[in-house]
Amino acid sequence: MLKRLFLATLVLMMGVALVNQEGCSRKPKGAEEEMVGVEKGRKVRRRPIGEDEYARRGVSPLQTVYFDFDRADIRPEMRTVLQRNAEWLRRHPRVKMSIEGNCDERGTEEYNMALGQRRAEAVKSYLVSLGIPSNRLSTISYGEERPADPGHGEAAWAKNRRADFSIVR
Amino acid sequence: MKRLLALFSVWIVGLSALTEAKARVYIDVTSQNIRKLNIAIPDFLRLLGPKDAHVSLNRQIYEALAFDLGMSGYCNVQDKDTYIEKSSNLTGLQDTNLEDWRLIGTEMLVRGGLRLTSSMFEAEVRLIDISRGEAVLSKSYRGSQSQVRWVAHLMANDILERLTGERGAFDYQLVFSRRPTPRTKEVYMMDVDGAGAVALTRNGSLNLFPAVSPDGTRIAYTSYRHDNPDLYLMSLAKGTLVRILSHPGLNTTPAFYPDGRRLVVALTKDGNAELYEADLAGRLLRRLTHSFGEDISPTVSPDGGKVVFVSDRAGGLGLYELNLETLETRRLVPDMSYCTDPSYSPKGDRIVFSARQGGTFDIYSVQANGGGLLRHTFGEGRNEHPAVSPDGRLVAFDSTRDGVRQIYLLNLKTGDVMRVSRSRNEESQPAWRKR
Repeated sequence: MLKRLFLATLVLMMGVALVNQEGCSRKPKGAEEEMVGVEKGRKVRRRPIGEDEYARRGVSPLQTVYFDFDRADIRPEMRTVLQRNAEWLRRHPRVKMSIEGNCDERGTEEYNMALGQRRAEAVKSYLVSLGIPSNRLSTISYGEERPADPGHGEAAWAKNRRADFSIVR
Repeated sequence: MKRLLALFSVWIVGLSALTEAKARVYIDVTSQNIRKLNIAIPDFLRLLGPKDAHVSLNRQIYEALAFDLGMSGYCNVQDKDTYIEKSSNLTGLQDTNLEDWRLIGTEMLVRGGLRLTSSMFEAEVRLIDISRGEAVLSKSYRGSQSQVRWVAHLMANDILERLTGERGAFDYQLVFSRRPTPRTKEVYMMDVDGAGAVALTRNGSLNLFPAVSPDGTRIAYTSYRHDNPDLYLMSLAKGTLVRILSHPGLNTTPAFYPDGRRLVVALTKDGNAELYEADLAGRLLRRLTHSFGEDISPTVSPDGGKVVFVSDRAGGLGLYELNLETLETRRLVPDMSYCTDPSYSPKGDRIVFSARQGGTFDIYSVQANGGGLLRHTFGEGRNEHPAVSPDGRLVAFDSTRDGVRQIYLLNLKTGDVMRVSRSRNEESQPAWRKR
C-alpha cells in the first residue's frame, strides 16, 4: 500500500514537473527578433542529456529540499531526501546537476539573492559530504524571483523556501 | 543597435534664453513652511503649423508641466475647468487678460506659444506674475517634435529655478526593472513622469538592480542571461554591453562611485556576500568587507569617502557605514532590526532607506550620522528601493499600494506621493539617470 502510494506520488510529481518544464520553455513570440541590439547575444538553454529516461526528458528526478524561514541549514527530515538524491546521483555518474536556491517573498530581493545562494551551497556541501564529486554540482540563486507557488500565505511561502535540482550538460 | 542609438542621439537644436538678469525668488526653499503658488497652464497658442500636431504637442507639454510643477511641492496647478480666459480668443502671446486670472486666484501664469515646422517645433514660454502683470521669465526652446516631453521637463526646471532659485530634477529619467512575464525581468527606462518607457534589455532572463553612472552614460546591472547572476555594464553613449564580473555565485547590487569610474558590488565568490571595489573593466581593486554575514546593497557617499550598506551580521538586516579609508564599519540606526536599500542624498547629509516595522516596509531617512530619524510613508502597501533625486528633493521608490508593484515619487518636504508608472507588469528598483 505504502509503496503504491509512493509510486503514485512519484508519477504525479513527474507529471507536474513535465508541465512546469513545458511552461518555462515557452518564450514570448518574436522575443529574439525584437531585441534592441545591445542585448543581442547567445541564447543559452539547458539541454537534457541522454543518460536515461529522466535525463532525456530534462526532468530531474531529484527531490526538492525545503528550508525554514530565513535559514539555510538542512532540516533533519531533509537529510533523508538528500541521501536519496545522492543515491540517484551515484547510480547516474555522468549526470551534472544545477542546485537552484529559492526564497519566499518576505525578505528583500537583494537579501534573498544571498540567502538562496547560501541554501544552494548548503545542499551542495551536504551532497559532497555524501561522496558526490563537487564538479558534478553547480549552484545558482534565484532569490525570490522563481516562486513554486505564487501565493502570499505561509502555505505558499513554505513551498518557495527550497532548493530545486535541474540537469545540466 | 541603430534603433537604440537613434533613441539616445537626440538633442535639442537650440536653447536660447532671455531671462531677467537678477530677480527676486518667490519661494524660500529653506523655509519649513510649505507655501504653494497657484499656477495656471492654459493651452499653448498655435502660432504656426497644423492643428492636429499642435493639439498633440500641447497635450504632452501640459502633462509634463503639470506633473513636474505639482510634484515639486511649490505649485498648485489650477484645474483647467476654472479658467475664464479662452486661449482660442487670444491674438498673440502679449494678449493676456490679467483680470481673468486674478478672479480665479492665479498667481503665476505659464503663457506659451508653439510654431511647428516639419518634424521640429519652437516653443516660446513666458512666466507671468499676475499681481505685477509682467513676465518674470521669458525663454524659447527648439527641438524635434519627438522630444517635446524632454523640452517640457526643461521648461519646468526653468520655471522652478525662477520661482525658488533651484532647478528641479525633472529632466532626469528613471531606469528600473520591469517584469514583463512571470519568470523574467528586464531593465527599462522612462521619463520621470512615467512617459516614454523603453526596454534597455530584452534577453528573456532576469535583469535586476540597475545602477546608473553619475553622468548618465552607463548602466550596471545583474543579468542571468548566461545562467549565472553576472554583472553587466551597458554604455548608452557607445551602444555597447560588456559582462564585467562573472565570478561563481552572485555578482550583484552594483553602486557607482561619484567619479563614475569604479563600482562597489556584492560578490559571493569567497563564501557569503562581501563588498568589493571594482573598476569598469571588472578588475577587483580591493575587498571592502570581511564578515560572517551577507554584506549587500551599497550606496557610496557623494564625497566618495564612505559606503553605507546592508548586512545581517548581527541578525535581522542592519545599515552599516564603512569608512573607505580605514575600512572600519559602524552600525547606523541599531534600534531598527530590518533595514534595507540605503540611498545617499546628493549633499551626503541624509540617507534614505526602507525598513520593515510590524510587517510592512516603509521609507525612512536619517542624518548621515544615524540621528534624526524621519518616516516618509505610512503602511500603504510595501514600499522599497528608495533612490534620492539628484536635486535631493524627491525620492523614487516602488510600492504595492495600488496592487501590482509600481514606481512612485515622494516629495521629501511635503510628503506628497505621486504614482509614476502605470503598467500591468510589476516595476521596481528605480535609479535616476542624467539625460
